[in-house]
Amino acid sequence: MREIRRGPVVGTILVATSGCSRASMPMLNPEGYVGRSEFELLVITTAIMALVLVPVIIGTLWIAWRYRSSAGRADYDPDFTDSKLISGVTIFVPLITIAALGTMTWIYTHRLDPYRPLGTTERPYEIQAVSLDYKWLFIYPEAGIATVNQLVAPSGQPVTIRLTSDPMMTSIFIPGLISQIYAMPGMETRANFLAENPEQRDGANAMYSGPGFENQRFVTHILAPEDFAAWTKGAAEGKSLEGAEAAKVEERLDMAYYKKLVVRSDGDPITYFKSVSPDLFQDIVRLYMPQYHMSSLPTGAEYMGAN
Amino acid sequence: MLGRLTYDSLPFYSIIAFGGAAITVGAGLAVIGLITWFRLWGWLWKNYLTTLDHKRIGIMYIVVALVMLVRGFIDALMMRGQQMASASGHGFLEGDHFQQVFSAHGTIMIFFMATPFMAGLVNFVLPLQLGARDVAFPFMNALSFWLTAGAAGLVLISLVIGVFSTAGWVGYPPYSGVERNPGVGVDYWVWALFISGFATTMTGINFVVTILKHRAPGMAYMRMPIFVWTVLCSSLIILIAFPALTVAVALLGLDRLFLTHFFTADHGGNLMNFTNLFWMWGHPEVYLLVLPAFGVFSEVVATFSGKKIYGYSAMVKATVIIMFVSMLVWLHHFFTMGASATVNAVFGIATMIIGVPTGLKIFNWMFTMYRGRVRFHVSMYWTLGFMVLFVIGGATGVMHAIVPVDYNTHNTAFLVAHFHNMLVPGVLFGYVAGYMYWFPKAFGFTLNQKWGIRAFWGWAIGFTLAFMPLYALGLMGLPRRTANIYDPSFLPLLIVAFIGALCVLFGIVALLVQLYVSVRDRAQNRDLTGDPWDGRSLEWSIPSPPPAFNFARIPIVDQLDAFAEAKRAGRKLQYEPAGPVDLPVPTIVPMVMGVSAFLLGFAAIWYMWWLFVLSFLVMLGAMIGRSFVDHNEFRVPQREVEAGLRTAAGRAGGVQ
Repeated sequence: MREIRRGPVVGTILVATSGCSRASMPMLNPEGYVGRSEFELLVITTAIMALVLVPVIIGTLWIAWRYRSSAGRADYDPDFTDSKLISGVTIFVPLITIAALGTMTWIYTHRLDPYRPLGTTERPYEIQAVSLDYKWLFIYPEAGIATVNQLVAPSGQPVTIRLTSDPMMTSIFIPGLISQIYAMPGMETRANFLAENPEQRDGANAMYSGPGFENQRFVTHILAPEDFAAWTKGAAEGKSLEGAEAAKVEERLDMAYYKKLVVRSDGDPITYFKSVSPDLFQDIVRLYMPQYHMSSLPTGAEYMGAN
Repeated sequence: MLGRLTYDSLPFYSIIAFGGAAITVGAGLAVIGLITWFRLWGWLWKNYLTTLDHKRIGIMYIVVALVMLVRGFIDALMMRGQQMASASGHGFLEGDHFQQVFSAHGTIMIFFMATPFMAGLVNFVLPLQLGARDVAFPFMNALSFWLTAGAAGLVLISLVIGVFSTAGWVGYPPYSGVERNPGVGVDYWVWALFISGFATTMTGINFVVTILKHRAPGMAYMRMPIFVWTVLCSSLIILIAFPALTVAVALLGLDRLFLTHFFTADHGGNLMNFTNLFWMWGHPEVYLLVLPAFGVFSEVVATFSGKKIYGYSAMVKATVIIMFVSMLVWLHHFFTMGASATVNAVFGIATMIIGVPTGLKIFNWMFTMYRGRVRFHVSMYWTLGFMVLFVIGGATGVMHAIVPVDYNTHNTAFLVAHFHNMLVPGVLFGYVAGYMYWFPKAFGFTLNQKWGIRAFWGWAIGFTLAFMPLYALGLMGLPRRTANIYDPSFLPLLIVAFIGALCVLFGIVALLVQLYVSVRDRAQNRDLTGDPWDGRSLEWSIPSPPPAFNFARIPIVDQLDAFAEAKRAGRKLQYEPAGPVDLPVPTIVPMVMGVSAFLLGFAAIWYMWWLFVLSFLVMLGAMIGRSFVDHNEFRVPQREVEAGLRTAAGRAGGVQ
């Protein structure tokens, strides 16, 4: 019984050490700087908490049993309501634990700020993501192409995703690679990552935005830089990613086509657009917030300097 | 005439919707039938429906809470079943039924189960612990109850007529906006919250004034029982937090009805502000629910350990600190909305700080048992179960406060597991412990221990099995509110969670059986002393059930736990001299206003504007009319009060 009650703690440690399959526990098999740091934080904090929890749980049950009235202990003392030693421990144990965790929170929250571009002077590669009912649109402004329900990004290079949504409030989530941040209509939020190795991960909208939201999923492919360059070139000619599901190919994504795309639908196939009108992302945000102006992306050093 | 209410609004479109409606209507008719069969209408009318007695209002609140608990739990069972079944196919809930079910579950459990349960316990216990004859404003108290009941009625009727919201219990725009959701579902949610928001705010006012103005002579603040302290802090939170919710849903209602742009994405609206306002209420809400539960645990631990509470003044300070800090942490519900790292970190650390006073409370309960004589009454089972399970939820709460961890666990099953870990062992176990602890005070006989302990094990084991797997599922990346499971590797843990839900079902059935068995055997379990547990506070110094005026003579308090200390010293409590007592005259007005509020909400939801105006006028008229009633108290003569001193139950009428 006691083991089951400590389930989350024990379970997390077990899973963390035994190495579950990547498919079933992506967060515990992270990739890249963000995912790894967050995993590390999860393990440290769980361990600190277990240090306090386990004695409290055992202590509670032990004291209750030891002082049960049927035991008839002689040290019964109805006036025992204050002890400097006990009160000191009971205030300092929580205080020290929280001080330690609070310090970690401050450091890691700044280190893992989703707006912070990774790397220092290197300009991040920009991808724009638009969350639609119930599909994801990804625009690659440098290559002038767009994809639906498939995210392709280079490894070994900082990447910034600009996010917006139309029309619901949603939350992008690629467990183990990037953690959640909301995508909202009329607003731009950002997510940053730096993947070291080519790999494949599932991404999702983690936030309920209507029946069917759980189908708003996409596959993320991290490619080596040269493969990524080849992919963008190929996609502009309508060539699907090798080893992935064949994409449906469309010519140009402009506002007129976007109006068709935005209509609520479910289970859309992976779609490639050979070209995209240049300011489409900005125009989508401006549908809700006419005064919006898209600023240029900072490097890591610039962002840290500005903050 | 009927607005947008048509034949299609009736639940003949699916078997499950029809089943839900049939159960609701059938249960309602069965209750009416039973009352008629046993010829209880007169008794009910006189003793409950028109009463202004805080004890009976408290009991009615708890009856509403238990009914809504059953309703909310059926929803929970359907969700567990649907997720499990959907792993191989599509499950059994079609259309947006699953979404309605989880929206109703959250709304019911928070607003119409936990909040009324709290209001009921406090209503019953608070004046008795203070040595008072009633709450400060008995009429407003009854009005609060009837408005809550009217709002609960709206949620129940949504099963029969129309649909409920699919926007979750939080109802975030733009999804809850009129463009995406023009139907009646969100309106049911808006009006139920709006009406119950008024009711709860008035309840808060009542409790605060009662504590400030109606304490027995000599009961200085630092002589109040811990439960009273927790109620005071909880009520102050109500006063500050509930208006935020009432305003937020009212503005959302305006957006929906008059197409204003408070929370729309375009035309200058700000949808993030709804989230902000909602959680400015939503987080303090959790604490206003859990603080009185902490109060119950403090009373139970002290009584059944045969000791004063360990570290009384530290407990009081911890409660007050929790009250303040609880209002400074709401942003942790949306760390992922994109605020700056500094803002997020500040709110994260503020959240963790609550762990210090809460941790201290846990230790103080532990050391109350230390060198005590612990009797394992059923309320002690719930308390120990709470202490063991709640610290796990506290730990995962601290994990959520670490902002980057929250980025990963937010919106997942991990989060669902966490807040159930706080609300089931924390809030519900506390209220049930209180229900079993004070039941003999209310009815004059004790509850069956055996079935109470069975209920505890059903809940404790069921909770563990139902929610520990959700922690793991969250780490596997399962988003909350997922209707159809897309990854078969989630299935084994979902099956375990479903088994857990079945254990909780056993726990609920055991609670009902306990009530039945206890009523059946009440003759053997009479509490003739008024003090079955060797209690410590003033409520145990009067007969069970107490007379309508509670205290024939008002006790004089000279220290903390004055009653327990008097018993220990072998002397009697000091009293003020007896005299006649003025009690409020029963009145039908609060019920009329509650029914009108129900009709007003129903009319607004279905656009029946004539009915809206009519019920509004009735409410207004009732309120104005009431203000012209000068003689709203009757005097219980001194000899009857003194008779109440001599006989156990009191002639002026105990709770039957």
